[in-house]
Amino acid sequence: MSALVIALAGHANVGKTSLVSALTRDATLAVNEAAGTTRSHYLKTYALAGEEVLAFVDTPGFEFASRINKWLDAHGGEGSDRLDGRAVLAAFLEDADTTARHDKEKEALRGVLRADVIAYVADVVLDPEGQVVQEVRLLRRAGVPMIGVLNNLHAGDDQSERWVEMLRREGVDNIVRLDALRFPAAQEESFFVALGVMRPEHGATFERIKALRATLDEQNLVRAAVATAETLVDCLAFQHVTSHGTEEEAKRYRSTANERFKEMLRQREEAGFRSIADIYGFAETALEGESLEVRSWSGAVTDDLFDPDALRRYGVSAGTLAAVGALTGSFVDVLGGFGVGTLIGGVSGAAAGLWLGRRVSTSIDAGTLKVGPVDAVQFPSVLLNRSVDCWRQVARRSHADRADVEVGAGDGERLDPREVQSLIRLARKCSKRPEWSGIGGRPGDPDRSRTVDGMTEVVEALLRKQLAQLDQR
Amino acid sequence: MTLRDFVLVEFARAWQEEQGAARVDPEVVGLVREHSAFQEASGPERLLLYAQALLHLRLDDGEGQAAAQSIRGTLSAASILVPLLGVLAGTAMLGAALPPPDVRPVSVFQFVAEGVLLPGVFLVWTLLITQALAGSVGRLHWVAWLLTLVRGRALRTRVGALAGRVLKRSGVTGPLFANFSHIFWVCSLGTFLGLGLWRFAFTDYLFSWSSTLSFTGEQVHRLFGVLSAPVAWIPGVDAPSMEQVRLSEFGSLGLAGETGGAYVQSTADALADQGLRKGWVSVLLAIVAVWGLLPRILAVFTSRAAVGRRIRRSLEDPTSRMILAALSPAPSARGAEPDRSEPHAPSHPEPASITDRAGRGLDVLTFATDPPSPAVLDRLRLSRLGLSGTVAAIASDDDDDAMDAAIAHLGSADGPEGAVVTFGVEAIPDGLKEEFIARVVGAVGRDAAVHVLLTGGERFKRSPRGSRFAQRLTAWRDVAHRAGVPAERVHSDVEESS
Ligand SMILES: Nc1nc2c(ncn2[C@@H]2O[C@H](COP(=O)(O)OP(=O)(O)O)[C@@H](O)[C@H]2O)c(=O)[nH]1
Ligand SMILES: [Mg+2]
Repeated sequence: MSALVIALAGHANVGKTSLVSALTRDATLAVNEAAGTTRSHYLKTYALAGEEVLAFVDTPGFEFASRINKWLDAHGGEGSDRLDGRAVLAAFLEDADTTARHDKEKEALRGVLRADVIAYVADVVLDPEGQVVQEVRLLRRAGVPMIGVLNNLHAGDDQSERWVEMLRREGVDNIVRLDALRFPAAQEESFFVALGVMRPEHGATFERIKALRATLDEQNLVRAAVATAETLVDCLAFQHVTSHGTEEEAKRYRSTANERFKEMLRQREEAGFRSIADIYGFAETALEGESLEVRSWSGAVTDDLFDPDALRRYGVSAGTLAAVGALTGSFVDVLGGFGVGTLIGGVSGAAAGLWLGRRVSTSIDAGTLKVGPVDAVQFPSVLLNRSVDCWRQVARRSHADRADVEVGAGDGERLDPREVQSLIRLARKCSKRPEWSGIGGRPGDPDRSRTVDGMTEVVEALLRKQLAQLDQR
Repeated sequence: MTLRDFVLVEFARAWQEEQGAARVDPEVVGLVREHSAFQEASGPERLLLYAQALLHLRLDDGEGQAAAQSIRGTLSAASILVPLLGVLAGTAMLGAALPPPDVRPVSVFQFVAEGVLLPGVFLVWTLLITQALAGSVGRLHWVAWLLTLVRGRALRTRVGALAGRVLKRSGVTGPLFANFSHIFWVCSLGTFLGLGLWRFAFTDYLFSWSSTLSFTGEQVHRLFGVLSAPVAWIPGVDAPSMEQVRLSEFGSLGLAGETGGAYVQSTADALADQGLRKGWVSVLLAIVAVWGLLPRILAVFTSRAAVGRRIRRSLEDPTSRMILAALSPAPSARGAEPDRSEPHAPSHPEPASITDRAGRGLDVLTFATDPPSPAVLDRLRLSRLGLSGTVAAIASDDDDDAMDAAIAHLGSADGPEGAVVTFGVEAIPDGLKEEFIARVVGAVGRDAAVHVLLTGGERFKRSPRGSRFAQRLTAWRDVAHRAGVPAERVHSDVEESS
């Protein structure tokens, strides 16, 4: 059986293209605040696991439906000569005089006539009066089953109730809510359920989509966890080594090397964010530059890895660290290993010592300057939390959302002590193996791979925990 | 009407144009009608009353008032400063032409150059430039800007542009500029001549000519023959004789010798000098008077006449006629007029000319939304545009009949002068709205004022699309622009930023 074809039709600028974007997980369709962005209808197929499961027809918006209805009424014929809806529409499409004025509407009608189901998209902010009523009547003439889709929903002063009333009055009984921007999974599901009811022969398709989606979701999560773990190992193991003629020279180069080192870490982190976004289908920028801006990845990374405030927000809390200490049986040992021995100075000094500590170790050995690795105890969790933050932004993001993804805006999720413990253990391992870092080289060490795996486990657990939270919202 | 008054009238108009206000503000018309001086006032005086009332009522912000005053003040200042500068320049020129008598003789060439050639060259330049300015005075924007500089920073931008518009719109700038230039030269040449006469009466000067170009005595003689031809009839003024010219050549003057750079006249030639001196003085002064001063005096009058003509022309333009028509005390007469303008069948009403709609102000037209509250109109300063008080509503965006009726009314003789078309900002700026705005523009005429007002901004900003508010406004501006309403005539009831 060929894929079910669903045409999205409605007034100009109500979010038809946005819905196609969200439904097909394609963030590259042209969406714009100016009416008339979509000029001709097109078929957008949706493939899952290499299998075409659905096809959507995106259409230009209606602007003059009332006049078209008038034309159709005038040309519909009388009595026994009366043309049926589709025939009048065909006559209208053929009529040359109206083409200049209504070319976009004709395009939309052509698209609609190809479809098995029409989804009439409504922007609930608008009044369900005037032209939009005319549009529903116009579309009903096509004799294609129709479903009402309420978009742009928000709590409080929307007009959903009035829309439902109007659509029912005009003979559209199937009505679902489907917010293109938030696009909750439950709404998409109910959209599919409604379609399944209207087109029972395609019921299996929707079951199949559900299953494929679940698999894909699972895959994405694991891939994101691996990407994060790779980033972590690369960053935690990284050591920047330069050789110089004399010790003096090396000393002079020290601050430059430091900057270079940080910069390379930053770039590696960004690349990590990028790959997480890619996994979830936010790789490409839209033609109009309106969608996810790749540039903004550098621009929007507001929190610097080395910013004290970032450390405070994403770092592990003192309480957790204490718990970690208890877990390992030796609080001092954990911290001492990272050179934060100053901590034991007293209760008041404890907190400050946690944030600060020696962050980047630098050593000069007869002309060889080594910067890194970062051995601040907070650093692994900062990296991890920022990466997870990025993932949270994209994991359940609607593909209709063209706003920039801002990394570092949210508060980091705290890890539980057991997770921190393994994270720190792995991080410590990394910091002793500069050769594991992929920054500036190719890692191929089997032990590194094992560490990446261990790291992946930690990350994956965290992502799963968070996914549950995301889905609750 | 004096220039100063005219500037006020022009300023008021320029302000109306800039704001996109009704050309005839109904409320101002009411005020003028009640004015005690109204009944006896002539046409131009009524226009002045109208301008004064408008500035008083609508430019209540002080800034605008100050702007009108500053332009008038600048004009007054110029009419004192320009002659003063002319006198100073004339004094300086004479000082340059007359060296101390015992240092060296007066150069007749320099005298003629300063008194005839220099003003002549500038005269040609002035005529050329004012000719050019008559076409386009856009370049004079910076003059306006400079003028307002004097009044401080706050006035510069908005008022500078306004002043530029005043200069631009009436075409009075070219002749006015020329007039000032002529006055300058009349004063400087007058001073040059007067002071010269006085100096020559009390001091003995020796005259000579010399040339780096190889002029012969004959050529110089012929040149002065031509220059003095129009003045030779004056008693005591004679063209220099050949003998006089030959004797005055710098090289042939009997030089007793040079002592320390000072020139000492030889006693032998003293007699001849007497004759030479007298001969040159009168003819040189007469030449400057006729060739230098006289054309400038004539030019002062012609340019003044040109200014007056421009003022009159501007006071008779369609806007003035509209204002006068609206002020004329028989409003019922307008109802009778269609008989005259419609000799043929009245079946399809011709679009009424804008003059027919004088004094009707701008209607507020609502398109599938609620009428804007007076408070909103006040806050956006739209109430300054001369609103008619009429609100026409198109209840639904599919009501073609209501739209047709509204457009027909806008274009009829009973229609308003312009319109403020109101939409809810949440409505989608689509082709239908664009078409409607374009029809409104077409009905009231391209040069009439049409504004687009977008209401419900607060609500929109609170909605999930709130972050797209700026883009939404841009989309509306684009639609309005395509329909013929410039972006600055699109108003939202909330600020775009924040
Ligand atoms: N807040 C919000 N904005 C939306 C929603 N759907 C679409 N938009 C915005 O509405 C505008 C028009 O969307 P578009 O998909 O191009 O509409 P179309 O003309 O019907 O295809 C874009 O700026 C979208 O970002 C939604 O559900 N919520
Ligand atoms: Mg579209």
